[in-house]
Amino acid sequence: MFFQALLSGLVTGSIYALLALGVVIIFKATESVNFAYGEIFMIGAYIGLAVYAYLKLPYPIVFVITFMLGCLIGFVLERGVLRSVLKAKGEIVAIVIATVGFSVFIKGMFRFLRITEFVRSFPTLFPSKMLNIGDSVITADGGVVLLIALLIMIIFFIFFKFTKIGKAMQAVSQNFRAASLVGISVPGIFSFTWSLSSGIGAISGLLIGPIILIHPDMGIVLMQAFAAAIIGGVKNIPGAIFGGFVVGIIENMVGLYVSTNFIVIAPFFAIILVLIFKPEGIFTWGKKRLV
Amino acid sequence: MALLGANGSGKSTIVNTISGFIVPTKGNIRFYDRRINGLPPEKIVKAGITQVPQAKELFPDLTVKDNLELGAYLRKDKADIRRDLEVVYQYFPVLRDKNRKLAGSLSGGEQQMVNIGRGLMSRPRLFLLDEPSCRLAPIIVKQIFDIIKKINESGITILLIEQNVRMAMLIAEYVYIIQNGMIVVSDRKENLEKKDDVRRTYLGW
Repeated sequence: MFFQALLSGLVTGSIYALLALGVVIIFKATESVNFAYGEIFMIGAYIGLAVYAYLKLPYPIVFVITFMLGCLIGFVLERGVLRSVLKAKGEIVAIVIATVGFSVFIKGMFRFLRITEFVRSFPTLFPSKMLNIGDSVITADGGVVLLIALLIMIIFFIFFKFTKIGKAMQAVSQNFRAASLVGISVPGIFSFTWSLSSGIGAISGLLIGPIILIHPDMGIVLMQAFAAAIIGGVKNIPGAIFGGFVVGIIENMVGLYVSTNFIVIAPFFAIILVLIFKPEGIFTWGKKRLV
Repeated sequence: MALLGANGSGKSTIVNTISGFIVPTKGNIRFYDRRINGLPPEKIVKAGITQVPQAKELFPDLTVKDNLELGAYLRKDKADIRRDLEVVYQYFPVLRDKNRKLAGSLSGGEQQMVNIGRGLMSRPRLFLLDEPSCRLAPIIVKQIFDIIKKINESGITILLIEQNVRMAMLIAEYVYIIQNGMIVVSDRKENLEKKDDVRRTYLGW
């Protein structure tokens, strides 16, 4: 049973890890947080559902479409909403409020348009295919989620470390003044980072589709993403990924050994433990913002 | 060219306005017949003006080599970039030894070298140096000024902003003096050295 919990934890953890990655790259580059990120995740799931289940396009195409739409949302959010907000108020707190507003707006829209009545669950990709490892079982769907998530992380890592834009992103997150001085367009990188982060969020929603029930409140997963980011260190990319798996596993362990009722607060236990024993990499500033 | 002036006289303001960080409310800045005021900083760099700021603005978690190579961010000529990197290492041999170290771990003088080297990597038409001697030990200051002179001799136009009048006057050809935001003197160095009253009023000797 322990091993089963571990396996399931890895699967959901991989999604949390992707989301945490998205949270961290925005925070690292722009020192701001996208509170509408959960809704972008949710939109990704619904887009995937609409295109895969209803339009019946092949999965790889659905993947690309979802990613691009996610990037588009992030781009529009950054350029349209955030630029004006920053110009008007000049403070990052305004971004927090604006994205929270966006999140509420999206959830309301989905309810209003009664989209929930049309969609319920994502068809499984590999019906009744399972892998047995000893006493434990991992569904093929779950395994695919884990593999694709890991693949995305690897691709991102290569992109971040070795491409020109990746280096520009690193530069901006370390010293945006110096980045301007070498000719990097800092606003351009901000837009790019928001787009990329949203794309990753939307993809995560698509990936998790076959495993869980899709509903307009699934954006609540943002809590796990924040927990993962805090655990790993809010400006730490490998840390975010590590944190995601930790949260996933802890959730399952808590569900197994304590009670299923406690699963919801498991991430917070993890945060508290980390803060007590290993708070380095955790910025008090970030903590104030997220708590 | 040297731009001299006391603290708060407006030297850094001029530099940051040229570089695009400050947008002037009145007037125009022209560079090779092109209006550049109002352009964002990255476009100014593209136009050929590179600033080496007073504070050593580095990328602390990237290696020295990465820092220097980022100076050539806008360039596409890979072979020439490699060659320019060699030139930088020749100016600052210690950077070659430390080229895999993280820039944040270097000493103040070495960081200033990275600062200047990175600026050189952009092959600027106009090289703006904002108080390069600031907060550096006197021995290093002499080294840096020697190198600045060499850079100028290699054909790059330099605008040197300095409080260290003595050293700046040693290597400058043309001198501007700013006081309270206004340029009060603008002349060739040789002429200034002959005009006793100007010298005494503004330069103190």
